Amino acid sequence: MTKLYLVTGFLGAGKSTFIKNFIRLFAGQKTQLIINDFGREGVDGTLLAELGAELDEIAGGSVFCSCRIDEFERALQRFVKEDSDVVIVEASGLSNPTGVRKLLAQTDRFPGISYEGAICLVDAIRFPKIYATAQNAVKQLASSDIALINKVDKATPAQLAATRDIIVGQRPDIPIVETSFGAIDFDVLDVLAKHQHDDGMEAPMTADLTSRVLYLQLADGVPRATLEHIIETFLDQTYRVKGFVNTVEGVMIVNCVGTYSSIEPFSGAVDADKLNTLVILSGKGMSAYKYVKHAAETYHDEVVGFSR
Amino acid sequence: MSKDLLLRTLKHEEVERAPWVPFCGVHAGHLKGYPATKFLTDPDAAVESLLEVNKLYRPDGQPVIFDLQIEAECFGCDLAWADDNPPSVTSHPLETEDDEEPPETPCDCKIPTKESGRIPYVLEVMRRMKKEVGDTTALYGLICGPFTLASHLRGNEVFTDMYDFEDEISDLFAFCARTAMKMADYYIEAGMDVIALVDPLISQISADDFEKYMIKPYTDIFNHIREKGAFSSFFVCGDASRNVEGMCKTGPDSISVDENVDIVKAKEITDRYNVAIGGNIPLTTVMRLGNQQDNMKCVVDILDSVDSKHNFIIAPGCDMPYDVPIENCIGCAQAAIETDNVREMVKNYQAAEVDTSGVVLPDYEHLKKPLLEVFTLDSSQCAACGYMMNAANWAKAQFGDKIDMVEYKYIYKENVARCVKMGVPNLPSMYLNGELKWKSIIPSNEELKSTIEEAIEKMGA
Repeated sequence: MTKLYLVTGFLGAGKSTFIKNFIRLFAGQKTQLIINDFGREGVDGTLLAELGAELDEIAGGSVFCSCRIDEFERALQRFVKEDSDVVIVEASGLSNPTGVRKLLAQTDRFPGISYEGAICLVDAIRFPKIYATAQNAVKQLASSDIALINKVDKATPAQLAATRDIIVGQRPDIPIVETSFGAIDFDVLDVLAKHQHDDGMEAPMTADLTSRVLYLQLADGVPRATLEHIIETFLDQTYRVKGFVNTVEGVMIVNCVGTYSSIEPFSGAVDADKLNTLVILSGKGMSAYKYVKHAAETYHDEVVGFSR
Repeated sequence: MSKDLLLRTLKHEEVERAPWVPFCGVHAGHLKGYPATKFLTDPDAAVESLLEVNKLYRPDGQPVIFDLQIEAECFGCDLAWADDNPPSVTSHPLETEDDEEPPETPCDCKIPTKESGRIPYVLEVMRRMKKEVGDTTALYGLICGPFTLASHLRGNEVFTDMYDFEDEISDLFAFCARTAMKMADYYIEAGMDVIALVDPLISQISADDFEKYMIKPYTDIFNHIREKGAFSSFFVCGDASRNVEGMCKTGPDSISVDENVDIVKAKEITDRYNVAIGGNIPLTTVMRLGNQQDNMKCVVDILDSVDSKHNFIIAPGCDMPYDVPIENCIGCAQAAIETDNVREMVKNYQAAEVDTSGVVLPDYEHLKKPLLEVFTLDSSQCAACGYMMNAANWAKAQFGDKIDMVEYKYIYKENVARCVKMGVPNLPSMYLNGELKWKSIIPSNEELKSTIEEAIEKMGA
């Protein structure tokens, strides 16, 4: 049997960083990664390529959505055929994994897969705000077996307490672990084995229409300072902004979470078709379109276009 | 009971009498003492109640589940539940609260499946009803129409989108139409003979906007239903008179209207297009607040006013209120089926006039501040009334103590008297300082704001 672990959590909770640590637990075993990006640019996949594990990218929608589930099914069947020991699935931050346990228990569709549980990454500071606006943050927690509160080093005691209160309020049964930088200093596999949770398939299945994606295409060779100004124009109206941009100063990775902006040099390989496109993820109550349009009008020489 | 009578009417054949279709939604639950919350979630309670409808009211055709929120719930809209009404939508996932944000059209992969939301419950009830009474009664599967569904998803912004984002809102309507076609597939497969698209908010848009935005989605839907071998109907409520011709152009087998529409005039139009028309027993004044004789006389009068043997269905104006007295609907059934006998019984009956002596109107000439009065059927049940109330509530939130605002629900007898005394022509309507400002059409926030500001200035309030 191939063991499958699901890593879930809302945009910017630190899933990719966590996976870099998590995958080390399976040293010596044949391990596969499935990276699921909501946007079609597959940014997270590029970031994790350096791990060396075999990696499959499923971009452009959640693996639990009917538009991507066939691709997910085919990838898993291939891994089983290749006698993989472990598959780690990083779900899109906007995905709704309701019913994952029942789905993967369908032996005709997923033969040879043993579902070992889901770890939900939670941002210690931003979680209360996200929980109030993003329906799928609630569903991700509902479907998980461990809640891992990440980035606690940056949180005040009051922020941490507020996040904990929400988790306990919804899931008094779930083990809660606190960490920073996605570090794992506990026996996560043992905790998972002991806390397999029925993920609430009794609840009516509903879709989430509140997630929104925009793509901003930039000209090649934009100065880094201008790139920062462009992003600042709309950053507070987004959950996440990410992508690779070839600036005057070299290739930069843009990795913004909420209002926290990060633009750093990137030395890894980036596919040409992913370069100079920013994926902008937003949701209910945010005016991303208006401000991205404003940025495109203001920086008309640097912005080639934007689309939905 | 004659399923055949109804189907022949939908094929536009001459029939011996107009078929009778009582629109019993949550009222069915009332017959067996189930609150709406139970009736709309429990298949056993629903089937038991619907069989009681079939037994007591002897319908030729019968809706199975009348709940326009089924699809919205699948799309993640929050619902407020009540014991005596279908649920209402309280959150709109595509709402942006920013006039410069266009509506987003969801991926088709989000269209509900047979497993989504309460669809498994609906399909079970349909299959069981088909087995129990499907041979003798034509069964209606009801689907939320694309305009009302778009408003559930997008909120009030759907009205301004038709001016600000024409392409994007057209895409959203097309998505809602594809949803309706998928729902029709599920319901036809579960045995429904007639698929009714229920779109109460059609009465809130102009004939031009109907032509521009609704002809294509509806034509696609009705063609699809026809290809699948079922009959179709187009239900509206409110004053949709100006859109009756447009509705006919979309090619349904029948349409259904409420008492806000002059059915004689409307039938002249539908006859030109060879479309059957159903209606329009008044839901509140007659079915809910009247007595049995009022109901029998009303049905006879409607049947006598139209050519009832061709292209006509006698039915309530829309979904019947929960607590319509059972004897009133029995009276309607009797008059629909035994029309000649009942005509004889009620020929000398005079309905009691509404007593307006107890109604005290405000002294509109000497108000201290603007008074916004909203006359609704019931804003928690009627979608159009709900949107009119949303607009009024928005105004109240904007102006606070600078204005007064009140809602008069037609479900209460004293408010019926007030409507008569005020001469309210249609519901919903909104009055400012005793003057009718908006009839059926919901004002945009901007229009409402400027009208109230003008009044404030004029009154020096």
